[in-house]
Amino acid sequence: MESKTFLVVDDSATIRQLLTLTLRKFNGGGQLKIIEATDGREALEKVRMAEYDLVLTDIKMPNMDGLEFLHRVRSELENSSLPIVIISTKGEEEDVARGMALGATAYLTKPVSAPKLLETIGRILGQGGQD
Amino acid sequence: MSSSDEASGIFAKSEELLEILRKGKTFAEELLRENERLRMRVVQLETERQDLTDVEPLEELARLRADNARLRERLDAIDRRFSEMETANHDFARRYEVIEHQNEALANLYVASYQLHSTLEPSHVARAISDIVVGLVGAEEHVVLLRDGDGLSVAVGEGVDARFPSGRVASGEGIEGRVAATGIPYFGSAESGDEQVACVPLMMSDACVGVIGIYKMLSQKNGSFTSIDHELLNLLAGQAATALVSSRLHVIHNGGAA
Repeated sequence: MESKTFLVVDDSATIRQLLTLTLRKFNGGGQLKIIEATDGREALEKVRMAEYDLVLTDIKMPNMDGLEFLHRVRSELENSSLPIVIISTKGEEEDVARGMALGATAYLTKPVSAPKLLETIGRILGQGGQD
Repeated sequence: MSSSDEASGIFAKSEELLEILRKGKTFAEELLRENERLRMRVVQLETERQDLTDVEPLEELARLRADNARLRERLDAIDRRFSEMETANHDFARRYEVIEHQNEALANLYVASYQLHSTLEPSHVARAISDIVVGLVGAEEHVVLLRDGDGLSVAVGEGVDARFPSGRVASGEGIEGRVAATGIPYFGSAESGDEQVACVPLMMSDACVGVIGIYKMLSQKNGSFTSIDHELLNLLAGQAATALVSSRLHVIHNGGAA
């Protein structure tokens, strides 16, 4: 089974843990490495330093928010095609349009269900979500 | 030629003619027999044809109709069985979906509970409660109020500055104060307006150590509370109260102000 590395970006440890719990079901839970970051700035450093298969990020975070992080990745980094999924409480049409315009691969709203998250990731990575 | 020779010649010719007539008669008789045989054969064939066109096809048709009826009955029975199986399959799929959903909710609650008890700092516990209320229930405007003397004070809030300008609620005041005083959750309309409010006490034994108030759900939740939200909030409240008391006791034990 191919190994995957995901980056989960959220200032809430609880939300990071909840997302991690769901992500563990991806690909049968095997060969999956999940790295956490607490804000956009830390996430940007991490994607500069290592390769990731997918990033899940919140929008509202201290130091650097998710939209700024997305913009920086798309404009500054070589791996700008890195799939980035926004998971936010902001669910209005203009919020989604703004995130997608900045280059988000997908936009999900909290509270996100496990099947929805796994289906989205599976679609992006071109494989079945759940085991 | 003499007359006797002439008579003898005539006699011979008449004998030949008679022979020819006899053969003709025999041939005619054979023809008559053959004719009779053929006529009989025609009658026999006519009878057989009649049998073929009338009797056998009718019997065959009747037999085929009977087979067809039996097959149709079997097909109907199979259709009924298929329909029953399909219904059972749908029921099973629905039950599976519900169980999956419950399983997911339980797993999330486990993580939430773990996070609540992973810190001994009361403000962190309050923050964790807020994160769970947003991440699991889908609350937008909400508050976590903690027992402070004889009232409640805001520990964490989102979009509620106007509701709590002083950052405090006196005991028995408003929905939050009454919920804290009675220990009874409130799910219903706000005092001023039609908006839905959920207010849940954080109970430790018989004591209320705080209140979670939700005043607006995220737009994607269509502004309403589901029965699962109620359950989730009640379960969360129990875990949150325990975590808050533990963290406060830890602060007191270490000489800080709870």
